[in-house]
Amino acid sequence: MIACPKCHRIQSAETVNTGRMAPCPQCRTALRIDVFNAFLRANEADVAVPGAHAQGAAECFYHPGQPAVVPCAACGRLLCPVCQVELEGRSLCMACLQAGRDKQKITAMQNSRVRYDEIALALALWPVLMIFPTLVTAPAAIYYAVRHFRRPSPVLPKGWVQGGAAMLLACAQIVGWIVFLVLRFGD
Amino acid sequence: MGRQAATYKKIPGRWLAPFTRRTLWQGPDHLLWVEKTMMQEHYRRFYFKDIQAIIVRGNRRQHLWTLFWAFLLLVTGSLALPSLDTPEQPQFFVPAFFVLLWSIGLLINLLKGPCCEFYLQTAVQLERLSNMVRVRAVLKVADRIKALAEDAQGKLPGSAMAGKYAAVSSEARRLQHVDTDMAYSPVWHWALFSVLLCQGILGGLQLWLQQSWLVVLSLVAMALALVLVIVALVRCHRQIKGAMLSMLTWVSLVFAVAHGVSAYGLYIFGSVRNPEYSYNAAALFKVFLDLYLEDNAFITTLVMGFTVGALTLGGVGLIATALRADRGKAPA
Repeated sequence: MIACPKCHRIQSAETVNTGRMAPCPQCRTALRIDVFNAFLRANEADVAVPGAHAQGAAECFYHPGQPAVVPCAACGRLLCPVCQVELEGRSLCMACLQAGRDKQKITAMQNSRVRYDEIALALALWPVLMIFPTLVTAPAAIYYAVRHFRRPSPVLPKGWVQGGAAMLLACAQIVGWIVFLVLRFGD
Repeated sequence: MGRQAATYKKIPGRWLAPFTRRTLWQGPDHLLWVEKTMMQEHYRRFYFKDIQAIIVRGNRRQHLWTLFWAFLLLVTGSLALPSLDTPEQPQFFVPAFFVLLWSIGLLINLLKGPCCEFYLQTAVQLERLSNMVRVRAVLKVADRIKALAEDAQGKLPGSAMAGKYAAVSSEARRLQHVDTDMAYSPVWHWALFSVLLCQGILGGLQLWLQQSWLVVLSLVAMALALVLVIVALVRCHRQIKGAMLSMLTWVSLVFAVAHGVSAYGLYIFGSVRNPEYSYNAAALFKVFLDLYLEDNAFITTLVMGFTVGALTLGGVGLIATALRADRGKAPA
C-alpha cells in the first residue's frame, strides 16, 4: 500500500498523482506521491491459467502441466511465467540465474565490489605519515595498482585517477628510499 | 552469459559522510543506488518496471539549519559588535570573518529552498534515497524517474489510475482505520493532560498561597504525570503516530522529566546546604519543601515556568485529545 512515510497512513486516491506537494490528511506533512502501473498490477487478482494439455501447448520444464511461454536464453529449457526471470533483456531459468550469480557472470546480480584502486591509494598515502612503513606499503600499492589497473568494472565506469595517483606516489616513495639509502650507505 | 557493462548516467545529488558516499545512477532499465564505504561499493537496483511509487515528503530540516546558522551569526555578531569602532583590532576582524562565513552559510541555506525526503517504493521495499535533500532538486529527479517508469510500465489516464487506485486502497484504508482509530482509547491522554492541568493550577496556588502542602501535591502530580505519560506512549504510540497528540505526549514526557530533575536538584541542594540533616530524611524533606517557599528569584522563576508549562500543555493536550477521540468515532 502507499502510505505516508511519517505517520504510515494509507493514502486515498485524492492525495496520489496530484503532481504537487499536498498535505497528508493525518500528519499534515507535505507529500507528493506518484503511483505507477506496477502498484496496480501487483494488487490485481491472479488469473487462473488452464493446463497446458488442455491448450495443446508445450509444458514448462519445472512445472509439468503449466504452459511454457519462453525458452531459457542460457540452457534452452522451456519456462512458464512463474519460472521465467527477465534480466538484462533475456529470459533465464532459476538454475542458470544461480549459476550466473555464483560465477559472477551476470552484471545485474553483482551487489558489491572491492575498490582495489582505493586500496592502492590508501596504501600509498596514509603510511607516509609514519615514513618507515612505506618501505613495505609502496611496493604493495604498486602491486595493487598495476594488478587491477586494467581490470574492467562490471558496474560503474572506473576512472584511472586513483590507480594512477597511487602508482605515482608509491614510485616517488621508492625513489626517495633508494636516494636515501645511496646517500647514507654509498661510498 | 558474458559480462555486459551497462552505461550509467549520474543523477544529480550526493550524500557525503565520513567514509561513506551515496550516489544515484540511471541505467538503461533501472536506477542504481551506490553506497561507497572506504574501499567497497555496494549496489542496489530499482528496475523501472518494478517501481510502484515515488514519494516526496517535506520536512523541517531547512528551518533547523536556518536556526543553526542564525545562532552562530548572533553569537559571533555579538562578539564583533563591541569592537565596531576599532576595525583594525583582532577583537573585531576575527569575529567579523566568522560573521561573514555564517552569513554565507545562512544565505546558501535560504537560497537552496526547503528540504524533503525522497522514497522509492517497490513490491518488497520502501527505500529512502538520502543523497538528495532539497525539494527543488528532488522534484526534478522525481519527474525524470516518473517519465522513465511510465515509459517502462505504460501510462494510464489520470481518471482510470485514480479509479483503480481507489478500488485497491479502500479496503486497506478501512482495515487500517479499524486497526488504529477505532482501537484508540483516549483514557490515558485524558488522565495525563488533566493531571498536568491540575499540576499547573496547584503551581499557581503555591505561588499565591505559599503553602507547603501545595508543594507536596504539585510534586505528587508531577510523579503521576510521569507515570501516565509513559503509559500513554507505550499503549497508544501506534494510534497517535504522526498526529499533534503524539508530539504533545513526547513534550509532556520531556516536561515531566525536566520537572523531576529540577526537584531532585533542589533536594540535593537542600541536603548540601544542611549537612546536619543527612541522616534525617523527614527533616531533609521539610528543608526541601521550605526551599520551594523561599523568597528566591531563581526558584520563583522555576516554579512559574513549570506552572505555565503545565497549564499550556494540559489545556492544549485536552483539546488535541478531544479532537483525536472525535475522529476515532467517525465512520470509515
